[in-house]
Amino acid sequence: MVDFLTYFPQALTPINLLVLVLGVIGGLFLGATPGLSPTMAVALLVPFTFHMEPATGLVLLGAVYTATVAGGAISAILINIPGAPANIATLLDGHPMAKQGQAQKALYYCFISSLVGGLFGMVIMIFFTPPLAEISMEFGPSEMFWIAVFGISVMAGLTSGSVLKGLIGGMFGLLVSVIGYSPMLATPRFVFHDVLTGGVAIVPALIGLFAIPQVFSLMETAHKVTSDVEFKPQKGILWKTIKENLGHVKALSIGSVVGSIIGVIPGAGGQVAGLIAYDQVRKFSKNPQSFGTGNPEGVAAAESANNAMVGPSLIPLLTLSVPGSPTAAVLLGGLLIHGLFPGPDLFREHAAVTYTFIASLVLAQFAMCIFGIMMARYSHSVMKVPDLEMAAAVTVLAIFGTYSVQNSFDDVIVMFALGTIMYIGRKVGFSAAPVVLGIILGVIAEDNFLKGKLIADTDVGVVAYFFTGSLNVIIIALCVVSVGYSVFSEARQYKKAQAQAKAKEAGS
Amino acid sequence: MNRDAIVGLVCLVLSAVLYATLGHIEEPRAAAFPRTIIIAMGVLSAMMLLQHLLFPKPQAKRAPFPLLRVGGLFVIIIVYLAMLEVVGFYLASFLFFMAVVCIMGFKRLTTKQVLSWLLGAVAFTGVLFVLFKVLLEVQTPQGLLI
Repeated sequence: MVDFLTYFPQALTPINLLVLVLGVIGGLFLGATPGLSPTMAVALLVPFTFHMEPATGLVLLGAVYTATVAGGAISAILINIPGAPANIATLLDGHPMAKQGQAQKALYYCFISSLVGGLFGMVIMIFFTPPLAEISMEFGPSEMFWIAVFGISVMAGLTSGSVLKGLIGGMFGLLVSVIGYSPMLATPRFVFHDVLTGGVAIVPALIGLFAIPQVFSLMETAHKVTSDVEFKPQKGILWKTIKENLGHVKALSIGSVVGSIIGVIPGAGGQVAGLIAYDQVRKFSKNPQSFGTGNPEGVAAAESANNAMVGPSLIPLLTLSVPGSPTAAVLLGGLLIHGLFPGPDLFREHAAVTYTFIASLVLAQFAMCIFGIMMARYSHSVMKVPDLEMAAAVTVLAIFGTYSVQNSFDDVIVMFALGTIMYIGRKVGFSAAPVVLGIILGVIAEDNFLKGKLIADTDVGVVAYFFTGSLNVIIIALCVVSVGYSVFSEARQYKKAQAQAKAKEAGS
Repeated sequence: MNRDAIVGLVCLVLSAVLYATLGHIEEPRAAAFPRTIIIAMGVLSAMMLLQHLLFPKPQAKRAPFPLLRVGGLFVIIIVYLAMLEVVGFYLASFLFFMAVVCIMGFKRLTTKQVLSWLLGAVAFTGVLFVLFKVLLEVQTPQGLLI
């Protein structure tokens, strides 16, 4: 906490504040645009931060991350399309409110609740991250190897509809990470073409996997007309709404706590946080049947949860390199291109950069609320950016961003090839998040696998080295539990679907 | 065979092909990690194949794939990439923007709409040029023009 306060003023320098405000406004805009996910927005920005001071670059990424999650609620409320997966629970009551002529009130609820949840999550992050980073000092090569496996297993289970597809995606990512020369042995691997000689860099992979499939998806829907609601700005309802919103203590508390807990679990993300918080608030409500018909408590629960997730999702990222959400995985790419590696060094050697970043995330919560409320009256026009122009602009930015990191046209080709493969993968049910995590964690996994093997060969042997020791056993158990839980959930869903299909057959 | 079973089969074949290429890696220690991953991927793919053969899920009806729209954009992007190092980033980007909106949005072609797209394309590439070329001096693919 002392370090946080010491470095807090660095987030207030004119350049950092300017970048923060621009990042928040841009993030709200991008989040509100259907079809542009927060993950893709942050992935597109990563290469541009390469030309900035590390702290300023991270301030920009953090501001965009915070604002896109909240901005996604605008399209969820106004046109019933969540701007991001994290806003799925928001539309359940937000859109009915808009249909009843309360769109502006729903948007105010969204930004105020996001601020409450976001600040709660940041407090959790500030208190828990440094001590956990110290614990990670205990980790040797075998533990770090298993942590990488754990990250992929959790992300695989929670971000895909199928555990097996998620795991296969993670393995594909690991294989992509080994393309090029082996870091320890300088031997070429899977270099099928000259463009692969240098391996697959993180930024082209991030941009390709998140932006290109989105561009093709925009093209699929470019001719469709979305239904929306009539939006009439009202005057003088802000203070009344703030008072009313803050009065929903139960919804805000449940949302903030659930969001923070889910955020710490690697891979869970805002979608899970919002839905669980919404469900819990409904269960505890005296009037559960009003949920889904335009109950503001539903909006408060969902939005406080998905923004409470932002801070805690960075705890495993900053301490163990294991991101708490797909967007946090992209942020890891942002850290790595500035030569910042997660772990205790981040809080010692790079304390100024790290704490400036954390402080800016706190400021971003306030900026998001203020600018969100200011934008609410005009948010309807944000929805009107046509898909064709958006697809063209995103493609240009993706190519420009990829090229600008290393001035390499090969990177552009790799980015587009990976993006096209991912688009086909998405069509058959694969998700980009496990692939990205595989690419990022593959380097950590292989490096520690080889280091561990060297130690094991001269010591107790590979099996004993990797499978014994209390920390190894705990992390392996966590891997088994995460995969086991995902398999169990999938089996339960399968049975439910079968039962529904049988009931339908019997009914007809 | 349902779609997911086919996906499992394709992944299994891919694992086998990649495993075969491991023989080309000169240093055996450098192949150890990829080999472990490929074996794991092969096992998972076989499990997926079996899962969907033994317990097929009911397949939801899908909307027809918009091949013309997606394929059209794919071709335009390939042409754009080929042009980048010939005519330069900014001009190629302007032409790409106009090509996407005019070709993919041909049903909406009116003089007013084309003028609006033209204005949008000039503004977009103009902002990129001023921000990155003039202010930040970021290097972009160089061509005959800009």
